[in-house]
Amino acid sequence: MMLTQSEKLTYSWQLDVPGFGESEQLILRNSTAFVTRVGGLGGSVALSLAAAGIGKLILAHAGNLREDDLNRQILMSRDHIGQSRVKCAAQTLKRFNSDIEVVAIDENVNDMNITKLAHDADIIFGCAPLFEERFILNEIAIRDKKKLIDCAMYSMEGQVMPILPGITPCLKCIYPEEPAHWKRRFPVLGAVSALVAQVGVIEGIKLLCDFDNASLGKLVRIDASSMDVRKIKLISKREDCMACG
Amino acid sequence: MTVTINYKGQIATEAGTESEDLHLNEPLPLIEILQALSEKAADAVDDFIFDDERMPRRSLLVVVNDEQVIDFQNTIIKEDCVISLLPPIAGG
Repeated sequence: MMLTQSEKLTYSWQLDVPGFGESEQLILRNSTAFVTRVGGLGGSVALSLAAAGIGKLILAHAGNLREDDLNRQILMSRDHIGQSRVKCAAQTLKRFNSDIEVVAIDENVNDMNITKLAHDADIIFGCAPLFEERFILNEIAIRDKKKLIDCAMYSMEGQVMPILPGITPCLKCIYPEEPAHWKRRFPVLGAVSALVAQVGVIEGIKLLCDFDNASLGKLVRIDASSMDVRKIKLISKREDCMACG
Repeated sequence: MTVTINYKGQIATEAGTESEDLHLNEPLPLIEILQALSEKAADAVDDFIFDDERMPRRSLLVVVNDEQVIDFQNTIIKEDCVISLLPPIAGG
């Protein structure tokens, strides 16, 4: 399979990136990414994956848009209030790049639906606001040997952890206990969510296309206050890990 | 020696600061540094570091000079360094 003339034109500027050529673009085109959810982080992840030319996006996010979502959920606008978030997101993405396939699921991830939702995914982007959901993604990634990019933020901070099952530590290796203090409501500046999302997408494209050096075994920490980006070397996989040990 | 403590995420919010320096006269196990921090901190900060049985919380990332550490008893801090305390975050 070759890129079409239209694809060569659309992606011509990124095809000039050293190490990223037509074969990497074809990998992207033939890949499916599962993004949960499509809020401040996941919406930006999905948009940048669409811009880069991912073949198929599966989006999962339950519920309807509220006014207080609008500071960060960039795939939706005021006239969408009261409508399904994920369907609005899918419409925006299809308008943005009509060549990609977008599947919108108006549900959050849970134990019952995860096998079906993640079945076709080559890579999963975990952008959910609850650890319960993130741990489910972690488990399915390990079970089905799928690449996982865990993206998270809090206030002016964020972090991205690329997980390659069998190779890197998993989310339960670094968080072996249910976090006791995390609350559903957290401070968000939308631009920080978007910043963290871009780091996640870059790491995801590196992993998918075997392009450049993914930050395997590292936690990329972003501090938007100081504009400091650091890579933390994580422990190796925990031998007693409840998920991957 | 000077050990810089960086508080991140919700701990920084509870501590009301992002950083402080500790001056140590002798090498110390990391666990003793965490205990010393807890003793002088507000209860809310202490609760991020230790559980009800006074064991370090296993989901708190403790990072010494950009490297995660999990063996707090046998990690000896013997020179200037930066210790970062990163509570779990999941904002989306």
